[in-house]
Amino acid sequence: MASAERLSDCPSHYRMAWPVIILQLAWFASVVVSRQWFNQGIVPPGMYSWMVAIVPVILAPFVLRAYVGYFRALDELWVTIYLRALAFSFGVSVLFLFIYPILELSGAPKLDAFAYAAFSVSVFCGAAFYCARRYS
Amino acid sequence: MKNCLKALRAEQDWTQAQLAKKLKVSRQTVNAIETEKYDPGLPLAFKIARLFRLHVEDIFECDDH
Repeated sequence: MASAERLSDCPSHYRMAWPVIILQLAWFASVVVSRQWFNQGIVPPGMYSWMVAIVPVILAPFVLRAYVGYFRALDELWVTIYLRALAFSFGVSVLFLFIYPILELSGAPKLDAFAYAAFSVSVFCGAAFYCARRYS
Repeated sequence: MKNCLKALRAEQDWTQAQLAKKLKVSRQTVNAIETEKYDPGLPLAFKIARLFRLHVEDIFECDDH
């Protein structure tokens, strides 16, 4: 019976994406918090500083594994969407990486590596959203 | 690339989600193929043809010819 078929068996990009997004946000939060603690001098030197620094490092392989697993489970349309978004964001990020230091010399605010990474991720998310809309 | 996937699906009285499940792809992929916004790769094109017991060229027609 068609009505009895479980449509949830149909691969859903959104359903698969949520665990990966939550894991990525948890990792990002651990990076931000540990950076803040180090910058504010909250973490005492020695053993405790290593314990704070190691949390994002331990989480990183799990994030990568979840992301790769998610990418492998995608169907060909979503692989195309993400590859296009990656190609676009890579190109934009490289251009930004070379151009912005010139703007800094002209008085633009200084950016650290963290800001560059955040910019790349933002461009990737925007490009993926745009590509997904084009195909929907 | 033109295709008659929507008509074939309608003949079988399947929803996009049901066809997507049979092809093991997302519903968005079926929709994108039907609206001719996306051309499937060869493995998926053959899978679609096999599902409807047709040849690939019976379903997909290249615009160049």
